Amino acid sequence: MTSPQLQLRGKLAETLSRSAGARLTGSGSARGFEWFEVSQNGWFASAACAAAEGWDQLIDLTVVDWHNSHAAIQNNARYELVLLLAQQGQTPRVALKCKLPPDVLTVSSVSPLWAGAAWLEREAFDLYGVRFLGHPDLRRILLYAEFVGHPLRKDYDKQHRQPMLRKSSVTKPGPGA
Amino acid sequence: MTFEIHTTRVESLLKWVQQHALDQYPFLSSCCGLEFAAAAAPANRQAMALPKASPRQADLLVVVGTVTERQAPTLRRIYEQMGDPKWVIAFGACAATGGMYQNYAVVPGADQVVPVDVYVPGCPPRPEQFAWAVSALRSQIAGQPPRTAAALVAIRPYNTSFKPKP
Repeated sequence: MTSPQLQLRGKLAETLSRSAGARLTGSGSARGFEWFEVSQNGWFASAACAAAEGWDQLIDLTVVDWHNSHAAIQNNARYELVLLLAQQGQTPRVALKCKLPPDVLTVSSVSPLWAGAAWLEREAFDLYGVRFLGHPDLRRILLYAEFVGHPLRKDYDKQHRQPMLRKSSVTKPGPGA
Repeated sequence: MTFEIHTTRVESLLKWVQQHALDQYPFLSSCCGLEFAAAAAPANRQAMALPKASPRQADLLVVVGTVTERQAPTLRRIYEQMGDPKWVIAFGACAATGGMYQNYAVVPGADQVVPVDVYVPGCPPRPEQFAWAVSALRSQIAGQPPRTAAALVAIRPYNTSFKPKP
């Protein structure tokens, strides 16, 4: 790691650890980005910290399902929400991670900070079922509204068939709406 | 003055009419749909059934291309709108078995939704395979073994006991 990268990482790590709302629980470096793990309750605060530090480019927001992994079962942290950020001119990107338990699969939406997060969060909701508080329009984006289930979860069987609904029988929007 | 009298059965006459006056309703989607347009080229016209714009006027439903979970109820509804007697040809690997897709969005074969009489394998099938499929269907309607190359289309007996999955 070159010197400016070390400084940069230290700066954001410092800001995150100092901020009472963020609750930094881990950090590291992997594959060209620096990752910071924060608690579920401190998600919005850490994202706001990062945005204030100049990490204004939202690259991606996605979810990892650590179904059946030893750590996930031990710590009741099956899902991991990952937010990738970049800054103009900075080489290492920053990833904010947050572990989510399957029974409280809710986290604050970061769409007030980055407008592009709105659709990425809709995708995370559509395919994993993660709910985002404060999202302007949380509904399915890739799948149709009457789809039952969240298919990218590891316990969704790929052979599973959907119910054959008649369009006329659908009187209200499905669970994804 | 001489008369010629031919005797036959009404069933044979009906079968002859049915197999030679097939009107088809193509249910097109994805890549096979465009290949099917090539299959409708004038060179294959004499073997093709006449395409109709409405399922209510057709006897033959040609399911062309991938059947998705979202589209499956629509396909079922189109099939139910057709009047008896009706036949179904599944054109392409996706319509036959789901093709290369094995995921949450694709129904593995049109026969999960409608009863299929002739499967045309291929990705996409060659245009003349559709002509062979129609010819195989005609033989099937007549109750006779198919005259086409059996390796290129697959037929099963007309299924009158099909129950769609709930």
